[in-house]
Amino acid sequence: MWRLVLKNLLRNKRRSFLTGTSVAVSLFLLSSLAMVYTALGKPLENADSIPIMMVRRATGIVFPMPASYGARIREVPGVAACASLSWFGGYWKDPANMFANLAVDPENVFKVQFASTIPPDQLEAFQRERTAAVAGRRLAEKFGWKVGDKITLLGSLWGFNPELTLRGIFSGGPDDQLWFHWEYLNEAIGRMNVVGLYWIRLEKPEMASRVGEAIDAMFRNTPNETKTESLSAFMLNFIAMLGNVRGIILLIGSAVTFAILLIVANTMAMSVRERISEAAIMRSLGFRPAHILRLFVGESLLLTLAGALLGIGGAKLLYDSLRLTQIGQFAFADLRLRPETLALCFGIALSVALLAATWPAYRAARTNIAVALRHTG
Amino acid sequence: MAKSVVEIKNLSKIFQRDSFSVAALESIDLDVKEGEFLCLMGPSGSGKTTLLNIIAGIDRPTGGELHVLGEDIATLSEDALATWRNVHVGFVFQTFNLIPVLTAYENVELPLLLTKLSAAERKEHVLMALKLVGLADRIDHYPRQLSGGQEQRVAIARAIVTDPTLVVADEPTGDLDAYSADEVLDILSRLNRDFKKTILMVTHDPRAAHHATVVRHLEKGQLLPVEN
Repeated sequence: MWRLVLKNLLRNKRRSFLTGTSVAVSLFLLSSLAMVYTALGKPLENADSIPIMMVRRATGIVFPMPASYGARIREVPGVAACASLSWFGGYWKDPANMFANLAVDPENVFKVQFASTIPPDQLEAFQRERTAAVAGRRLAEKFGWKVGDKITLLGSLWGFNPELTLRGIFSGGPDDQLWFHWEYLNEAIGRMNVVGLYWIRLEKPEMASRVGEAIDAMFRNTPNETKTESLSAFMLNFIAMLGNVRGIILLIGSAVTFAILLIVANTMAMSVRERISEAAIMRSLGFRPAHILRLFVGESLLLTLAGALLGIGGAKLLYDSLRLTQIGQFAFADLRLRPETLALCFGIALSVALLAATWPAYRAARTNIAVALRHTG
Repeated sequence: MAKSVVEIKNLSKIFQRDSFSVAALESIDLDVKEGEFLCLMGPSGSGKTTLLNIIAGIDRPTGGELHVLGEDIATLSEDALATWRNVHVGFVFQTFNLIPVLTAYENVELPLLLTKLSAAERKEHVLMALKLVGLADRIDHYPRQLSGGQEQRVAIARAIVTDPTLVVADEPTGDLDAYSADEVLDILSRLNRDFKKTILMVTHDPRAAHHATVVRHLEKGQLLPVEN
């Protein structure tokens, strides 16, 4: 039976090729959209097991907090370490060279970011010098930085261009970032004594809820109320600032899916209509309506799944070879076609194949044989 | 005395065309004995093909009694009727109706795919049927690579490959030249004479009727009395 399905599929090679290619291109696009959609919904896959939380202003992450909060947060039971950070938002040499550059508390930042490791002498050099900076290995390799290099950050909204000396390169953790002294920033902006956020490291991951409530309770009814949240929740809030990007992606994805459905349905409708009399001949030979149904649906499945293999498989190969997880930042740090995304795309392809073929195939299978034999196609 | 293969009593078929009812067949009584070569003749629109289709189980009567090979096929479900056709009936159509993407071998093998025969057994049956119609050397040819007469002979091979009791042929020579038509009619005669197949053939062609053992005429949906 599958031999017959294949032979029928190759009956009109140009049409099958064009349909298969259209399906492949559409599914490539759909799987790309699904990849971004998934990354935006779950930026860090294992976020809940990371014992790091973020403290921000309750009113939003763009509002700063007093630098004095750090000392009080360190006193909360369950907090192992706390470091302030302020988003600087500069670029290196060219606006195209955007990356995460943060003014941090050099004494505590490596205590919180325990997954980041740096040689002790480099750490000491970083902590000692007010204009020192450290960069993640991925970032340093991207720009070809070496320890001792002078790096000037430009274009920040803070209105000054810090001239930094790279004193260390750390590995692991958020290694696509550059950190420099908060004191340097604070001095340059007239000692406003504010920070953007606090990173806190918990003694145990399961303490998250209790510690978060304790910190927020401590600052309740003050001018600068806080919101303490997990890394993934923080990232989702950050992404939310971009607007309903996921909604837009979902809308485009739905349109793409509908387009695939139309392409396959059109091909199957033409294919079935041309072969109504053949279906009748087969039925006169003893083939049951269910056989005819399976024959046409099988064709649709084979055509769509071939396109899916090409489109989704191609996307997987392409994105894996581009090593997006190595170049993606922040919300896109884990940008890859996850197994569940692949399964979803193949599921959509399967559903489209069934939906597109079932109705015309059912009609062909149920048409009166004597009437269909008079059909000329 | 030979037993009846087809027993029809007071059979009718009415087609509904919008608000009109058209009686294609009225009060048909017919008895076809085993081993007969029955030729149904009549002008266009007389109901020949409709009667043939009903006997072969690809259309259903509106009224009357119909037993083919002892089975009241009008009461069978679609699936049961499909199986019944596969086992008992072989079809030969005017326009050959081979599947264009399949070779002669694959076209003849088609009805056998529904049986429990192994691939080797199917091959044996297919080659035997194609040899019987004189096309053993054309097994890998596609329909477009065959002449009209050869296509019709492949269609006959497909009709007999399951060894059915009844072979129905609807204008089998209608699209053929005189030479090919004679070849096809000779094969049908041999099937009837040497292999004892009961054959029902609809035709306009008086020469084709000469191969039949019984000739019946239909006119305006009614079967005319047997001519003596």
